[in-house]
Amino acid sequence: MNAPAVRVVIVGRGIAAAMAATHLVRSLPAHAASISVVATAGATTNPFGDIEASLPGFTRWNARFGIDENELVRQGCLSFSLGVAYSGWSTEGQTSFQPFGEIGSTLEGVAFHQIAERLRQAGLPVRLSDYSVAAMAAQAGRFAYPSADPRTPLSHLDYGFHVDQARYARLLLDRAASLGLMLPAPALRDVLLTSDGAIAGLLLEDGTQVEGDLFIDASEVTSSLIAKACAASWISWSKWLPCNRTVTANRTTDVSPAPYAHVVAEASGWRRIVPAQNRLAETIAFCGDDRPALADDLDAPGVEHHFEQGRLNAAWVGNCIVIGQAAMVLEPTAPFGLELLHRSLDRLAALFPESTPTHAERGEFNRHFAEEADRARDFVIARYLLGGKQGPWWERFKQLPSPPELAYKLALFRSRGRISLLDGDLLEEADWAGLFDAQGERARRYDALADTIPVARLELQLSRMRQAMISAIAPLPLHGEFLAAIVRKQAA
Amino acid sequence: MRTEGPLRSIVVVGGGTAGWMAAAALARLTRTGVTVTVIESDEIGTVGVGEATIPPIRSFNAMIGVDENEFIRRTGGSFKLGIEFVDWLRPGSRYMHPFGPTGADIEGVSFHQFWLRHATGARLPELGSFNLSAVAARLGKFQRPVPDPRSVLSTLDYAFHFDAGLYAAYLRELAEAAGIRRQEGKVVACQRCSEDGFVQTLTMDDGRQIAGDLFIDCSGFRGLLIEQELATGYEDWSHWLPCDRAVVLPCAANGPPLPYTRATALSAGWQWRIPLQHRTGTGYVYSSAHISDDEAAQTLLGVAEGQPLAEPRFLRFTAGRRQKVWNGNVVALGLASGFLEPLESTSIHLVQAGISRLLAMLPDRRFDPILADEYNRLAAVQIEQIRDFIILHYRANERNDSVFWRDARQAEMPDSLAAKIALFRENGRLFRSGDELFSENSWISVLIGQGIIPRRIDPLADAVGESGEIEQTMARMATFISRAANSMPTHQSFIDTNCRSTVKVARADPLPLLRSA
Repeated sequence: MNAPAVRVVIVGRGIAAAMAATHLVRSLPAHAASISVVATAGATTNPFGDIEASLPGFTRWNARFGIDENELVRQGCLSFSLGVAYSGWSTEGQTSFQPFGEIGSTLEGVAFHQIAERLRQAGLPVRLSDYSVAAMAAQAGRFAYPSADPRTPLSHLDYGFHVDQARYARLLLDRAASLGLMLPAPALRDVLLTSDGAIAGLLLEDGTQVEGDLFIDASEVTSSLIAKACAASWISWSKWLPCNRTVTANRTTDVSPAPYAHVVAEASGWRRIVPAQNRLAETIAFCGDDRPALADDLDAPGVEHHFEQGRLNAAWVGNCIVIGQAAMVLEPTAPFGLELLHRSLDRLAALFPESTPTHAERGEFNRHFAEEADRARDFVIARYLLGGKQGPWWERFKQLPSPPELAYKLALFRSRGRISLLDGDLLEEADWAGLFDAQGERARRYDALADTIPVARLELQLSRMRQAMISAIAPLPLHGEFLAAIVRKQAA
Repeated sequence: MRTEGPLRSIVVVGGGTAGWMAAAALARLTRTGVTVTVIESDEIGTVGVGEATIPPIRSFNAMIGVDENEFIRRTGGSFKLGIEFVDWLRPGSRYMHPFGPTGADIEGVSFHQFWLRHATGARLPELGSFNLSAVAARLGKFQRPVPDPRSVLSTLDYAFHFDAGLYAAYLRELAEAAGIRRQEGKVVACQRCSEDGFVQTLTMDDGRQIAGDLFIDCSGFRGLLIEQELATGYEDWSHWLPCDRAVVLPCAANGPPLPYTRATALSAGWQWRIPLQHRTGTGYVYSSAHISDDEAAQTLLGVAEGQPLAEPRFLRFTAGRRQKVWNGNVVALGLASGFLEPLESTSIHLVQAGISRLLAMLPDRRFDPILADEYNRLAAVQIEQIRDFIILHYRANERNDSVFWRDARQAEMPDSLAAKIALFRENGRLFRSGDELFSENSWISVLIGQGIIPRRIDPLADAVGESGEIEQTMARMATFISRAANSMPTHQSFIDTNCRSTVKVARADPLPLLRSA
């Protein structure tokens, strides 16, 4: 009665291939899909460094597929993340924090950032992240799991990870190998096409051919053979995101790792430090030949990478689906990479074709892909276009028009402090409000409903909120101690 | 005229349900010194029907501080667990579109996929048997959901039926107590700023002048400000939704009130049946191209249950939406903003959503145009999503008894709906846009109820469990639900205990949402 299983061939050996294999083998029945991985084409090094930062969605992805995060911590794959710190992105010398979890709380139906604006206009300085339990714990270098008890501020905490991509990918691919999914994989020589342009199979250097019905390009390089065969075209974002080179390096350290990544705006680009267990991954990004002296000051010799930020016009063409960095390159000044990846996989599993993919499925996949990629891009661009960064390199962004969706969001925020969430937005209103706020944007008028609550009552509420957060954080272990306890638990 | 500074005064033009809902919600602003005035004329008759709602009405009531039992008592209200669609697929068919979840996902796969897989063996009861609201509705039972998420009784969800005229009167009391000013009379003229076209002052029939910064047009179909004054324009959807008239008939109750709305397909449209405590509201929504007013009224008198309490009254409308519901300094709510037939009980919800959106975008006197843009964008998205859901009911019918239904089947449909149906037909998948009002459960109830059965089921469903095991799990779910429903009090006894109406019967109550033109 059933159609024969769809032969799915995943090409790649990095984190995208590893997650794709895990996701599909766990969510598709064996009689509907037979999955194999050709671990051949492509780099396993990320141009943005060995350690990737995730949003909290990645935490849930692991839990969903039974990947034990404690085990990953013990294997040195993960450390915890409570958000991202930004230095120099708005006014000189200023640092802001974009935390996970909730920021403040809604009072009488009025969003917290609107309350904050009301207090500011009444002459009381309020910094949003001072009311985020994640931001406060991060600043103290402390970590704990969110609490299930809604009465403690720790219930508002949420966390992501800093992921050692190579180790993590290896671990998942080892599991895939134990399920017999891995094919021996010499280099890829050619992609064989059918007369109607679909992919018939892959020709490897040793002359073997791998046939399949559906090909997933997880090769992590934009010039991948497969993507070319798909005839998808690249939409460049370099107008807004000109950085096209990075130098990456790792540095060992024995201090307790910070539970956050740090992104610093430099004279002509940016620098990012992501802490992991016992080391720091550092990335210096710049444009063209404009290699900053900074790049030569790294402790370890850095590796230089070249890329162009942008995305494919369509990620599913014919019987080929491109995921990860082969489909989109977006600098990790906000940690969207893994989020976009597992959302793509979710959508692929949900739309998984029983035999020949239909037009409806492809259209739906590509529509979501484009929306999510562009909204993630907007979030990243906003940090370039807004704020008072000085210097010739940054000047150009002052006059640069925003993409229309970002311009719209910004205009609405400036007018009334409102956030317009659009299809494909990966983050919540509070995150956008936090971003605009950190870049020095202020609403001309805050929410009129905020005026219905007396200032004295708001002040009292806020001071109670902060006091409760401080008391909740004080007894927490340092992040390094927290990791060590997980490792010890197994030893015991 | 546009100037600096916060709003000082808001003028609501028209009472009725929309007007008083707006006033009750805006009352909160009076604390900050904003004046809110409602202009209403006792002379302008309001017609209307018993109104059916959907669950979000409860959060609106909570926001304006309504005590639920008190509200039911005052409006002759009853509880609503869903809508029953009778004869829609073909004569003799019936299905329930209930509130609350149907079944529970199994290992991340939607419940309806398993139902589809096992229903082919015909050993499974209908989809509604896995929804507590649906089962309780059929048994005439009601209670409020319990907060404990482990109990199946927590899955119940509900809305209300009530007399919209009495609801408006109740809200008026609340609003006036909170400092809203009511001005009796009719608007006869409108003065606008020559520079930007903003409405500045309204002149009343006795010469009074009422000035305002922001005007809310709740004047009904005619759109006194939004259309008659500002000529905003109307997007006509009658090619998709051809029903353009309704005949309304209040009847005496002929038994305990059912805890659900019923929509029965008739030869040129459909009949609603809305049970209140003191009477039953009914009406026939029809297409004037397919049936005459007289025939429609005769048909309605023939099928209505209970003694008619008034002469049948007629309403005319055109499905569609105002091109801009916020134009200049005028925001239209209710019938002034657009019209969709009440097949899915969305009229009051659209008013409520408009009010929430306005509170969220409340301008200052500068009236930054981006606020209106965002308001209009969100309003258009919402009403179009609801429109698609309503069209779905007509589109997928197998009736051969009249031209109306054959035409409905062959009519074009919006691309957004066509894409959704195509995807579902392929293998039972649904993708909702971010903030769509009707949940996946709602879409599935109606898609399957209207006979759109996917060609194949989701292969993901095949990955889960042994077939026999799943069948047992599902049988257990149905048993739990049936037991829970049977343990509930009857709708009537719940009302008697908690919120027995104080409304006296036997006259045709003023019914404002469908204001006569």
